[in-house]
Amino acid sequence: MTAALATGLEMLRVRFLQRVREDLAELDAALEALETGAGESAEVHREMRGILHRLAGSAGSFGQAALGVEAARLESELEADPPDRPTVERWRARIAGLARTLATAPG
Amino acid sequence: MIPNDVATIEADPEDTERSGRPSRERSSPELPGNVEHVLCVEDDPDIRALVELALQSVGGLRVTSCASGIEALARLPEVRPDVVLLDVMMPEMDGLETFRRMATGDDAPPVIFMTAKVQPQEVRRYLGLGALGVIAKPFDPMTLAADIRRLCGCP
Repeated sequence: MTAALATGLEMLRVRFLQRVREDLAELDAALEALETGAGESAEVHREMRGILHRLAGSAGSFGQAALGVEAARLESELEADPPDRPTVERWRARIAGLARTLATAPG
Repeated sequence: MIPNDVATIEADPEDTERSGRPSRERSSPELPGNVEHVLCVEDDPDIRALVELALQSVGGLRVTSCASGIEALARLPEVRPDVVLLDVMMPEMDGLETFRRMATGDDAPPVIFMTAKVQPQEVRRYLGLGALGVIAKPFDPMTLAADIRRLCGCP
């Protein structure tokens, strides 16, 4: 691998990790909106599905395979246990688990 | 049988025959044989940037990127790629609809779908539509160009 390629990959990886942190904050905000009644369940579901699907399909390409696998698992979970007011706490715990996957990932 | 743990899945005419799709959806794609220019259609900017880097720096390919199916359809006549790398799940117009519209043109390009949804029935559907193959997400940036070349039948 050339130095230029390694530098390019590292820049993209750093940018990706920053975006993941923003995604995690958006997931928390979506659940908060659901809990306070500011957000519709269907809208929150759609937003969470979009974020989790993107992470599932991209994290592994940036060296974050565990994060991608966990995001894919949660994306499937969305259908079995949709986020709504009674399930907000469960979903908070799941998103916290996803965040821990990122924290323990290399780099 | 389509294994779940492979990075790429290519068209298999026999498998397509068994899919039972209407004949208008079954067309054996013609292999480009040579790839120099790839049109990447992907709504995620991080993935677009990684595809560009992987194909240009690792694979020595020319890449044009579009952020949506609508943009790709508008630019297709001008870009004239050897192959299209097409994300499936995109807002507004998804990859399947983009593919269908591309296929109606006079000079329909070969298409490789790129998706995290690679369950056997989903892959059969993509191949049954006439795609060259499927690249599973997440992809390995170090092998992406080689995977595309192989699916395109490059020597």
